[in-house]
Amino acid sequence: MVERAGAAVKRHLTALGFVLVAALTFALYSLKYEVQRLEARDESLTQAIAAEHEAVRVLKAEWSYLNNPKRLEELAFRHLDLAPADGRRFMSLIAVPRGVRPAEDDPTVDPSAAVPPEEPTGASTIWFVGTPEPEETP
Amino acid sequence: MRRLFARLVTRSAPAAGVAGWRRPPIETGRSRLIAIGAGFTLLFTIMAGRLIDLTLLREGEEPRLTASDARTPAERADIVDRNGTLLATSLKTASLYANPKRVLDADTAARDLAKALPGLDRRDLAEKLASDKTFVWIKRGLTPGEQNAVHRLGLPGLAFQEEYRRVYPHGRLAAHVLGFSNVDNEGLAGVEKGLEGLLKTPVRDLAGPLALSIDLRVQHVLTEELAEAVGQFQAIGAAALVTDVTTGEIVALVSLPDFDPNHPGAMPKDALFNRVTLGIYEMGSTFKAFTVAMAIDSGAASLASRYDATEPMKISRFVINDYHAKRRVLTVPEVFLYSSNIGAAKMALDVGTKRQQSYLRAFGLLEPATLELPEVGKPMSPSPAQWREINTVTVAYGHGVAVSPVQLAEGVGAIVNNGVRMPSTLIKRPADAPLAGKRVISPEASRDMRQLMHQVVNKGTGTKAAAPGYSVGGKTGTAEKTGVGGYRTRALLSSFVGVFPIAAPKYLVVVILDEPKGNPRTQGYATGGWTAAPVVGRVVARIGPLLGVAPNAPDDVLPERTVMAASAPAGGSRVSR
Repeated sequence: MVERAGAAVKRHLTALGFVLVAALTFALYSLKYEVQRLEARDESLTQAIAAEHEAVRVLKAEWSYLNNPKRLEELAFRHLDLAPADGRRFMSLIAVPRGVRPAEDDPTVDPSAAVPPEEPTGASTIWFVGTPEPEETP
Repeated sequence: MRRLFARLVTRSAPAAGVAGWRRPPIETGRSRLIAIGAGFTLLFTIMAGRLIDLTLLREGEEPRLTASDARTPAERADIVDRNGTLLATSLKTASLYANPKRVLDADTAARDLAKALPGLDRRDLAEKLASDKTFVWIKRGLTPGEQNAVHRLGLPGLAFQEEYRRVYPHGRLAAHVLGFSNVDNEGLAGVEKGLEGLLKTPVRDLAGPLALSIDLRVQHVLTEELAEAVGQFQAIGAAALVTDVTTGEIVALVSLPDFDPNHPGAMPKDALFNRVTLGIYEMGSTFKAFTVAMAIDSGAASLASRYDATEPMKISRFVINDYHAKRRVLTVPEVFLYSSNIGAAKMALDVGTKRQQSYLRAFGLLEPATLELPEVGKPMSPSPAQWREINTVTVAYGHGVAVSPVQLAEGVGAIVNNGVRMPSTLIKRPADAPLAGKRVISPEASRDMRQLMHQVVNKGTGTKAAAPGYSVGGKTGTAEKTGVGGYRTRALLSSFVGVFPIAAPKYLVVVILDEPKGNPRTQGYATGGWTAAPVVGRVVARIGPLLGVAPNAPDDVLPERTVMAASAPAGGSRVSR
């Protein structure tokens, strides 16, 4: 009886062993292929990223090329109703006529901010000692 | 266990067995099998344990064999201007090579290739393809279109190699600053060579692209205006630069004729020559700015001093004359305004030879400029031992010492920058970087000089450098070029050094025209005041608003409009050029 029971246990163990081996083999197999698949994907993604980087570099170069000042100037001249601003089109706030001052009752504007307190620097600070007679050049 | 041990002992030392009794061979065999089995079990257990350790216990910690190559760094770092506009980059391009041994029909292949890649010689190609080598370059750095065309031919024995190639999107613009590099990505000129070490280190060391001090918009304006002047006055060449006198940064640098760094091989040697940094010239009257500055700073003269320019000055066997001769006693401002050689010469004699040399050295005119370019010209001057009185006199009005335009800009920059000389640089200076300047003249002398320079533009020789809205100061210069056996009166070097806004100088513009010819519009004159000064005026008018320089409060005329109107009249500065 004991012999019999021992044999049965042995058989079951063997069967279990086979099942385990089969399961592990399958698991290993699928894991290996999963890893291979992921590695291939990783490589293709890396390559795609490198290609994108390269494309970005090309696009940056092209963007810079299209932003060539000469080209922009020509385009602006042809398509825009604008001219380059020259120095006379800027002025300091102190030169703005009084009427332009914001209304006192406008709560959004601080009237004291409209006129800078300090004297403007500029041509008025330049003077000359011993000015000679103006004459034609040369 | 004891039995096993006994058996093992028996096996390993059979001679020690009980005399006369021998184990049956079958038993020996079994015990050996058990020993071997035990050994294998042990090894497999170790392996299994290691396997579990590696696979289950260390999650994702396995060492990597290769570094991540997701971001393949280009061979060289990019170069951008001060606003971040790309000036030079490396792009992957395909280069075509052939293995002639595998080319089937060299003649047909050569014919097709020559058709697909215009610019290649058919006979030359056929020779290459028929050779018995295994590798010949056909063409390097193909455009995508060319690559496509070659692909479509489907010729055996041809293949592409991917290479990085330096590309300069703006072509000729700033070519002399950038320089160029060869197919093997080695810098050969300009910043590409001067900063080779910085550009070649991996990109992360530089933390991004290399930012130059150049402003591409200003560069464009300067190039355009200078090219127009060269055309108008038939000059053989020209040099110009714009610097920020408060920091020493070079904002624009133009040397004409220029070249396309994308195709440097196709250019004559002359075009590669950088007149701004490598060329040295006797500057002529612009040097009077240094003479007057050193006279005022040293106390040898004041604005009220007077110099007799009634008669031409004789010194040893030379006679010094005035171009704009007044034939009377001149004040210091008049000497400067009318650019009197006699006055400047006498002023320099008052300063003295020794002091003149030390001032010129302090202005940076006797040593080569320190610049990030390999093309830096060494100035020419008499050696201190040979610096005689006649040298002192001629140097006073800019003859006898030859310097590069960039040195001139640095020196005049020192005069107007409150007397502090800032070393020139082509690299953008971080806003918080400390300024390391050297004082050359006193702030008071600098203020006097600014007044004088302003008057030159207001009512002196440089009236054509005036720009609407901006107060410009400056000095004209007209030098006769040296030729065989002396100076050639017909070959001039006309220049103008302009500074704006003159009340608090920020930018300096130097324009030098090489051998300009007068035309009817200039009444035949080719002097600095007629040729170079108008260029400075136009450049200032255009770059002032670009660089955000506040114009001066208008003295007499109020601007027609208070806003930068969208519907500006057609008569803007653009048309008035």
